[in-house]
Amino acid sequence: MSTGSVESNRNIAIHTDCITKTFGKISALNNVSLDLDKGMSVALVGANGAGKTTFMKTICGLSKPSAGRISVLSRVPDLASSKFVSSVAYLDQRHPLYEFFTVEDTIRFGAECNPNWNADEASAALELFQLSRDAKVKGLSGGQRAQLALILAMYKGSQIMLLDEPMASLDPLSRSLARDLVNRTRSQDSLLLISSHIIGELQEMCDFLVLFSRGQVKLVGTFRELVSQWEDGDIVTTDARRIPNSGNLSNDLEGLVNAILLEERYVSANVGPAAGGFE
Amino acid sequence: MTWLLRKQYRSISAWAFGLSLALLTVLFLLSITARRDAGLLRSHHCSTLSLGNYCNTAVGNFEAHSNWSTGILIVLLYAAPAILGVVLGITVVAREFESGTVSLVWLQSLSRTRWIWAKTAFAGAIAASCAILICVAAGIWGNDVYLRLLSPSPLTSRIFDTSGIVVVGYVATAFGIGVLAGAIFRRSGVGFTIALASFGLVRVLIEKLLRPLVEGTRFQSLSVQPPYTPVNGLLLHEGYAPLGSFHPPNSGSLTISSVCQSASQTQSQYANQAFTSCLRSHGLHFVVQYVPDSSYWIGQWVEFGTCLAIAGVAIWISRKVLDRADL
Repeated sequence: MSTGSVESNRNIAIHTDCITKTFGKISALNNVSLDLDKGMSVALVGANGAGKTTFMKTICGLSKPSAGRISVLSRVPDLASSKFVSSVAYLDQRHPLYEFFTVEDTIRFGAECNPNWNADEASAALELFQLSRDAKVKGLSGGQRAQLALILAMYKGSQIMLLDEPMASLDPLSRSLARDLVNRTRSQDSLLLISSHIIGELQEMCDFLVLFSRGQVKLVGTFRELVSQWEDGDIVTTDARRIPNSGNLSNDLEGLVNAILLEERYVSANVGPAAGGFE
Repeated sequence: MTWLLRKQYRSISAWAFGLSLALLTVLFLLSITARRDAGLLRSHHCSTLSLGNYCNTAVGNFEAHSNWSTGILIVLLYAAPAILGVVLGITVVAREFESGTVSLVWLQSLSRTRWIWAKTAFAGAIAASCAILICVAAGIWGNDVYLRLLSPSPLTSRIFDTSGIVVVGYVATAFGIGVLAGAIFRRSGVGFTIALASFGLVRVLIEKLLRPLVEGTRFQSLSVQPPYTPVNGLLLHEGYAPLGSFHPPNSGSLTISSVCQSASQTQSQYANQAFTSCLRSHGLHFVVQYVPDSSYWIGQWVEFGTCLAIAGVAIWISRKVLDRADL
């Protein structure tokens, strides 16, 4: 069983108890137990196929666990419940949008479907990203679609925001704008979960980190705790065993961390805030 | 929600109404020539073809003149409700899955239940409106002119199936099956093919199993000499039976008693007084088994209700399937 608890107070927003999700013989989530509180911003990291997206989909009710229990704001995820779907916003990593809409239509869609829609902030974000209201969605670039999808999720007015790789197709300037937007929208009443492979950016938006490996939670902690264990100049790939609380890291985990870092080019990056994070 | 649905269904409703209006227009134009031809036939007293074939030549000419258009349009009248219903049904769920917008729309603040019902109602209303147009079109063209003349009973399959309230029922059934196929297969192409095949099967089952239960049959003794008594209904069987009995032997075939065979061969078989006398002397009479035309509306309403029930069950199952859906 993989267990983790990130406590800022005891105002639990998400509670998962031994959730398992299997697709045939593949186990996407394996006995994941995790408590996440309101007011937190949590980074989900892990290699491709580690279970981050499945975990998010399970939280928001798009995927049902094969075993285990989930409680989101004291409710079982249920897409048939308007109270539940009002409380959760999810940004799919594929950024699905209605192709026949214009940007204006998409914003109106958000407003029509969500009573807590923040129209002023959404308009400001459109200006920030310089998205033309008259532009057809099918004519938008991948990055512009990501921007629009992010606006749709962020200003829905939900207490729990699940963003699955929101920055993946954004250019450096847009990433910076998106980071600002996310940081502005965070509140003490909300819980923010972001999955990404770009640790440096996550560090700017999140306080906590949850590392997934092969469907299990392998590491839970604050960025501050993690960073304090390393010194500037450390090469992370060669020092995986120094990750805090990792005491007896299994060989699998060592390999995983190394693989993540190698895959995502962290290998050449120095560690520490002064060096610009983990990337 | 209404705004979203209007946007979402703008093109497909244009297609559906376009198809229905095109059918309506063609049938309306054909009805003009059809009425003229029908008038000619009626002037030769060939408006009823229940028994006897003395109008064969006139009817043959009429059919030769109208055969191609009648054939094509009957196929259209059968196919249009099925295609319209299934296509509109498939769009409710499958297109959202295909475009990936399910994860977008299901996590807006309106619940999935509300989303499903609103889409079903909206698309269903479009399907029903198109069905009514087709129903009117079939009524204008076929009910009183072409089809009624060629098949005198409104209970004949090609009239019963393509006119009246059952057309709306068939569209509803096709729609419900389309919604269900979309929910199960999540792909328009596969869903459309399977839904269409399933709808065809349902139609056959209704016709073979339900319809005979609803439409009660009757027996009647008829004269074999002019003036012939018309049968106001759908003829099922005919034959010769002993006086006092109304069950013709060997259903489906015209059995001439062997005892009167020689008499029947002297002149034409129906207008033969000797033949009639022979039958009477041997205690036989001519019997028909038929479904009275008065069963038409009972059959229409029962079938309509059954179709709506099937559609309702299919949509209910769709919701259950979606409740268990995993993305």
